[in-house]
Amino acid sequence: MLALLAALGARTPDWWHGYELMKETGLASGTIYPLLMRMTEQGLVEAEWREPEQPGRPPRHAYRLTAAGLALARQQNDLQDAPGGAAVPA
Amino acid sequence: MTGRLSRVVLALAMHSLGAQNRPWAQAMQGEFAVAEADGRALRFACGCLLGAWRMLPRHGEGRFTLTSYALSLGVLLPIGVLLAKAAMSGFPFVMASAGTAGFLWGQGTFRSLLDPGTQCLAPALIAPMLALAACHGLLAWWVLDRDWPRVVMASRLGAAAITALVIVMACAGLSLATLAPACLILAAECAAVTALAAWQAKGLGEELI
Repeated sequence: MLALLAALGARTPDWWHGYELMKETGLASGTIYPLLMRMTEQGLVEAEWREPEQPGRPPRHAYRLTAAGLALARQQNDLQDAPGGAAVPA
Repeated sequence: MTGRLSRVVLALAMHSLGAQNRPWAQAMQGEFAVAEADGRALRFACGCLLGAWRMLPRHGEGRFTLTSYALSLGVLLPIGVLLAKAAMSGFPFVMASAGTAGFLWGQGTFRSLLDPGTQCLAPALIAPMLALAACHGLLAWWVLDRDWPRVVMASRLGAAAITALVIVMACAGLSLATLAPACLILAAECAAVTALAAWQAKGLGEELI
């Protein structure tokens, strides 16, 4: 969850697609989607549908951090940057 | 071939997510097209399937699916196989020296309980037993398929087979007490299947997440 939070936080307020997030974080689809679902339910991530870039392809889901998600990402970043700082468990 | 396999795996993953997570299944489908263009479709689909399976206990439909598979593959099918095996060993008109294990695993010695006058009833005793075993196979399939009218039909066939068995056993002068454990197991099965149908009728329950 921390890797996902960091990736989403790094490009706020841009939207990410699931496959881009997989490449950025190195997480597998079986890890990314349960995390995104959980974070969306917790109000940390918002999702919206985007029209396909090429005709004939299905619409894509895009994700970005909410204000609460961004606050958590920044808090996490501060903790990691602080000397001897420890990460909040996922 | 890999492309087709990837699509099958993705379809299974999407189905495993359940109706309540349909938007997430569609989100996976949307990214699948990109993964496919990137040449990593199978890996993406397999990941989605593993993720969907890991999430099964978290939503009502997933818990229902797991329970119905446990009932069908863990109870109904094994009991059907055991009934068929027992029928082939001659239960309930043969006495096995090793008891139930004798019928199931072919241990010990066997002695027919039918006398020359009732010997002709042997096929009539084996047929309901085999019918009962076959009913279990159908029941397991239709429970997984959530086809409750057919589940009721298979249960009625099973009840008819048991009734026929009781009548023929009585005609053959065999002790009906030997059927008591089987009847108890069948009653427990019926209760489990009814509970499963009632669970689905109630809407599969609330989410846990």
